[in-house]
Amino acid sequence: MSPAWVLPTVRATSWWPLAVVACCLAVVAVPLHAGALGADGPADDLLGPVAAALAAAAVAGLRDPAAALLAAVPAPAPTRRTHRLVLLVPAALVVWSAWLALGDDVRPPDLLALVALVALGLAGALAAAGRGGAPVGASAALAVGTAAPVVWVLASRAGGHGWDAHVGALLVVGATALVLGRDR
Amino acid sequence: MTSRPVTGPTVPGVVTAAPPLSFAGVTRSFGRSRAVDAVSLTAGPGVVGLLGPNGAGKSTLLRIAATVLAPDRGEVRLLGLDPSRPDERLEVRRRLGYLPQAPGLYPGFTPFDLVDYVAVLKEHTHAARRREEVRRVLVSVGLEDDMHRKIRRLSGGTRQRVALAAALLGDPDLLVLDEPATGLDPEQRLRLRSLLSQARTVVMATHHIAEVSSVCHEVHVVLGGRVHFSGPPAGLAALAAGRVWEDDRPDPRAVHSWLTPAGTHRHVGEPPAGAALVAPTLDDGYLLLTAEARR
Ligand SMILES: Nc1ncnc2c1ncn2[C@@H]1O[C@H](COP(=O)(O)OP(=O)(O)OP(=O)(O)O)[C@@H](O)[C@H]1O
Ligand SMILES: [Mg+2]
Repeated sequence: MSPAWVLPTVRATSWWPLAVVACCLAVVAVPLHAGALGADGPADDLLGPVAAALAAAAVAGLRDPAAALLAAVPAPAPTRRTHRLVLLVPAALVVWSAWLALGDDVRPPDLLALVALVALGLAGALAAAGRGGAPVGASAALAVGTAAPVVWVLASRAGGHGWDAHVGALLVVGATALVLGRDR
Repeated sequence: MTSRPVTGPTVPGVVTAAPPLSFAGVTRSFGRSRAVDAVSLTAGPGVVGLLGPNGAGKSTLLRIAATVLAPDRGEVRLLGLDPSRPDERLEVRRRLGYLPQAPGLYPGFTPFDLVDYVAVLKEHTHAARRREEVRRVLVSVGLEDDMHRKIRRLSGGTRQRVALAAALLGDPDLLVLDEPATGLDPEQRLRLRSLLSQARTVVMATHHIAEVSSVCHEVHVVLGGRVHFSGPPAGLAALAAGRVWEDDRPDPRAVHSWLTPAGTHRHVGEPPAGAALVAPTLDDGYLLLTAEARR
């Protein structure tokens, strides 16, 4: 039997950002698959934006309208956030894998690159939540977290390096934020 | 009223009774603005009210009391424990119920599902007993008929009672309630009063002076982040003794004047010679205190 938190967490999680991105990708995938948009798979140019959109959607799924009500329960905010991420990240990875499968093989480094973008978004949200006691699930902090992967991919493109060139560094940033923001 | 002695960290063999809540020199700022300024107070057992104008710092104090916010300075003890230490904070949270001022809910949940989720997060692990407890708190706030309707279909006051039920889970040793009566109809307010009088220690912010006089045995008036009065409600009313009078026209010398339903003008302040003094109420004491603090 699944732990008691699973079902309510599935219901409380904001799935619609991920669903919207998945639907958009499905719509784009049809002409891509038919070869209408380019070579024999999703154009490499699209990989960064797609990963950014999926990472942003996963972070946006942390939005929690009941964050204030739950602020003082024994299961702390990081635990509840982890519960959601345990559901959101695999879901985003499934969509990402499906997208990658349109072109090349699905390679573990590509999967890790998406996780790194989510970690960056999480770091942004935790940093924006600050010490003010505003929960990370509140909209302002989460908006920063949602924007972070998108800004990263755009900045990488402007800077002329690959969006997935610093996966290790992003993972370190995410892990550091999780440790420093463990009370948020 | 049932009250359990609350014991703090002990020297082996010695039991020390600590107040359920104690603040010493607690300060908390947001940026440059100081929301709570060197507040020292103790509370409980019983019902303690926080009164004060908008922006006075009541919610900030309650968030500190609920372990949601850490103070910049000062010492907080809750149920004899130090919430700045993670292990003690966890222990406090196990014995605490918190109703925030703006409790968001999940609109797609039913009250039963939501309170059940809160119960899961409050470590009510035994499924059957948890459901029994969820039903108990929902019935205690009068939601027996609405507990299986979607929250998005419930009225504002009904939603407030859902959040209140969540705070009551597990019969907490310390209840921290931020404006619990908001949106409640008179019948539900009466029910709230009786719930509060059965609780062990309640600290609540309110703008309803009637609530304070009917349930609180102690009241703290917070103004500009500081506590300006601490004592029984009667003591707050007594601040205005000899300083409330009525006559048939407005009096510009009064700090507050208002027209009563009886058609007379009631004034608080320094009464003129020969004024018809009347017995002060809690409102009079509160209005006088806030007006004098502003000067
Ligand atoms: N998260 C925050 N960030 C910045 N300022 C804040 C924050 N929370 C509270 N404040 C400020 O702290 C002060 C006290 O606010 P608080 O919410 O504690 O007042 P209150 O007494 O509960 O008011 P009300 O009766 O309106 O609920 C206000 O000036 C408010 O603007
Ligand atoms: Mg408030």
